[in-house]
Amino acid sequence: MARQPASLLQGTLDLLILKALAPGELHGLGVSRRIEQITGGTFSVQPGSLFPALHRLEEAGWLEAKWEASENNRRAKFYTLTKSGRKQLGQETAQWNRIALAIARALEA
Amino acid sequence: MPLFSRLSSLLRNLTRRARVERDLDDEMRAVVELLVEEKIQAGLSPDRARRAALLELRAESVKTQVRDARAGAMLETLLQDVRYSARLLRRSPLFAATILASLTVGIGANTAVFSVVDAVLLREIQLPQSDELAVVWKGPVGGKPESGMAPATALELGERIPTAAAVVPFALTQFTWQDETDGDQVLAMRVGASFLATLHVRPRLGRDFTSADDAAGAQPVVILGNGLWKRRFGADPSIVGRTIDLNGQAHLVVGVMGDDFGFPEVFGAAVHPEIWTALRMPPQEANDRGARYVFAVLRRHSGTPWTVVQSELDALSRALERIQPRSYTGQRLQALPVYGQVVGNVRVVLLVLWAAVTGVLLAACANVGHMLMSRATDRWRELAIRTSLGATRRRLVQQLLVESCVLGCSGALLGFGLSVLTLQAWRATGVLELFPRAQEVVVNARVFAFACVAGLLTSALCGVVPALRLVSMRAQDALRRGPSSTRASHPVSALRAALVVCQIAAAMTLAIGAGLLVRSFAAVQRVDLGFNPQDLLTLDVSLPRLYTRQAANAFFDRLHDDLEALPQVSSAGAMSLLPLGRDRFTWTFLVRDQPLLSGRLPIADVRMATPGALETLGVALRSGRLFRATDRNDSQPVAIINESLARQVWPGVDPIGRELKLEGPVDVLPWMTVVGVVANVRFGSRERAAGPAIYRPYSQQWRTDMAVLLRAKGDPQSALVAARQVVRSIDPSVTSLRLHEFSYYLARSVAERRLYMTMLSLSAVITLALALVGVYGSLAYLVTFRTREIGVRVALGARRAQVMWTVIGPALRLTLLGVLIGLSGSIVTRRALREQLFSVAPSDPWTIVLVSLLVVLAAGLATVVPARRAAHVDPITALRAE
Repeated sequence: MARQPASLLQGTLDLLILKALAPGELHGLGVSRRIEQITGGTFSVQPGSLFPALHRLEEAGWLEAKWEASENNRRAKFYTLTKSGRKQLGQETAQWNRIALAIARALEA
Repeated sequence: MPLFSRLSSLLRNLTRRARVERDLDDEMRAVVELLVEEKIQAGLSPDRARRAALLELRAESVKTQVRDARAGAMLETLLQDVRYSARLLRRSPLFAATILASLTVGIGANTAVFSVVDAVLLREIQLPQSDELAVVWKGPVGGKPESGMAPATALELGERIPTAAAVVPFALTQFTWQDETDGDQVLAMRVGASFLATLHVRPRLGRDFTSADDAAGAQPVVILGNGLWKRRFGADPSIVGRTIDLNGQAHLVVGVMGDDFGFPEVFGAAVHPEIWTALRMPPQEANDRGARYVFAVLRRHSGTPWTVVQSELDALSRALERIQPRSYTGQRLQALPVYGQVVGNVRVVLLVLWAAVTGVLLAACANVGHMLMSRATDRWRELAIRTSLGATRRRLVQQLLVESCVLGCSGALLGFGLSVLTLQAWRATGVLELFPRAQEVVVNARVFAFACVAGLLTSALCGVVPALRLVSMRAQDALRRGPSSTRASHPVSALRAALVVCQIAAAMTLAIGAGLLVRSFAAVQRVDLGFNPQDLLTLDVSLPRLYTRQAANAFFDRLHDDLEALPQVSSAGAMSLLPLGRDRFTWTFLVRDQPLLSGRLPIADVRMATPGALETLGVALRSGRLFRATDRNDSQPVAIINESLARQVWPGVDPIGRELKLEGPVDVLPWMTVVGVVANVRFGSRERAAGPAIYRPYSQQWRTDMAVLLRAKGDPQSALVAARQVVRSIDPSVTSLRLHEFSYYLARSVAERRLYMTMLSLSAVITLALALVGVYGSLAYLVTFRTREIGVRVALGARRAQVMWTVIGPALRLTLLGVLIGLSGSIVTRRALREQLFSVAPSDPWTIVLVSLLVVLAAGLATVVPARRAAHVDPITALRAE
């Protein structure tokens, strides 16, 4: 993961975060665990990448954050997708599928 | 949006940065706790779990990365907003152009006008503690001071006014400068040794005067003004210690003043001395009690009121009256505080001009505000859609702010360009030509900054607040019903109407002031000067000091003959001072066999004239004769008087053959027989009616400095050049100075008046133009806004005229209201300008009526286009558009 080009990394990470949050709200650590889970452990997101990304997406208006009690009654900052975040997820998914298809074809050729 | 929530949103924004930081800290702490819990559940001991969690998170470095990410995201959205705004503005070019033009003109004109006002008129007194300084003058009790005092009086003033901290005499004088190629004249001040010390200033280079410099036989020393030092000596510091030639005498330069020093302009803008020299009064001068050319600078102790100083001067005046009743009956010495005098002279005009340029700026801001508000209402739908798509309120504010700033900044930039161009144009067309400091006028940074802040604030406030007001209503409602049925814009349109009224009122007030100044200017131009300035040329000559009476007479006799022999000259003569020149030479006089009426001697302008001078000037002879070559030093002493003196001294009697004499020793100033009466000539200014005047033949009362007068035939410039050649051919050591067509002095005599008039008229015209844009804009908006309603009316059978009237009627009402407010506002302007008016009453009905008509007519024109558009609304299109 560390060897991947930064632009791809960023784009991928954003997409994964949005995807991870699609079913419902999660706190930062939860997002990280969910990504590990849904990618079958392929991606393990370090806090140094995760939190800047979360804040960037919040700043862009795709995520909303609020403080709530966690499952074992600790205060944690929970992130949810906003309307425009959900739209963004749709766009990025489509985009990613196009790229993935194009690259797969390129590699088959 | 209610006030409270608006305030709280403002506060939220201000405290946002701190909040984000705190939030970030909390989040990291929470994450650590969650991690610790995870690790404990995985079987680690609490201590090890905590250590591992801290190691894994490395919170500080994460926080730095988060901050960078946030800043990056903000910058990105900012750039996005700028691009978006530019695109939007390009899409509505008329809107963008109107706002930009208003801002440009408002900021540009304000900056240009005020830069000039600040540099030319608003002369700050840069002396330390200048509120403690006064100049001592002499003048009638209860009247304005008119002159200085006698040297002897001025020299002993210090001892007689014990409450003053310092009293130093000074006098104005001219220095003629002669070098190989050319000559020049510089205004100088002869000052007591402690003059600069009393003003609390020191020379920048060299030394101050000492009491040794002031002794009668000491070497003449001078201190140079900074401007002169730069101009003539290229700012060469080695000038200190060298001698320069002034009035044919070597003067040692002992110092140079700093560039911030200038003597306060208590004598008016034109009196701007550039050399200071020690008084060095010879005993004969120091004992003189009759002359009136010495003034004194007085510094009071801080805390001593001016009334105390003045009461001492009054006591002294009464003591002088007992010794010199002829000089001091009804007269007194007066201490005029420097501050009040310098600033007081122009303060009112300054205030008016300041108000005028501020009016321009406000009118521009009103237009900007007004356009932006209309637009905010139009953008309602766009903003509502974006809100429902999830755009946060902060995001919208940022977007609107960026848009306003893009407009504001472009306007400021264009305004700066405009002000630079305007200043250049003024310099090129000579509006500023006659003001000594005008060449240095640059765009005034403070004024520009002020105008920009005003423009930006207006665009920010008017661009954001109304838009938000609309958005804060429920977005759903907005989309369903649209703005035309919500009446949401009504408060805004009331504000818009108020803006239009204010603009019209401001334009009206300024235009009336400008109208009065224009009429005064025209009246001043029409004044009968008492001589004929057409084709009149002048140059000043200054004879070297060694000239004797005989040599001087021979010089002017020959000059007269040689000049009249020139083909370009039809007549020539010389007179001691020019009419409309700034210098006066007045003297008290006595009349044979007439007791003093007021107990005090009358005063007259005294002029020395050669034969041919009055003829060349074109002064009409009323009775008797003019001077002839036969009036010699050894013939009967004669004088010519003007009508004013004849009327005052010999009312109803023929003055020819009567006798009068100037006050002074009879061997120098003998009794003179009146041989002629001539028309009154305005010597001092165009505005002031001529007082008594006495002309003396040059052969009987001579002096070294004379103004040569020529009546030209053909090209005036070649006549002047030829005249200078003639002067040089008679005696190369004689300096000719200031070769001018008389039109130069005519222009100079109205220069200040012209400047006020130009600046105020310009402000008035621009304000009116902006007001018309305002009227037009608000009506055009109204018509768009009510297209549907108009369509319904037309469909129901309203006639075109009726439809047009629904647009013109309200506009006319607003205009009339503005005109009425402007009329009452102009009472203040008119009162403030009273001193500047000439032969026009402040309540001149012509000006008021004409200006009102003009404003109403112009506003009417501005309504025509929108009204026509309303009249041509097609009901079908209008109704379908919804």
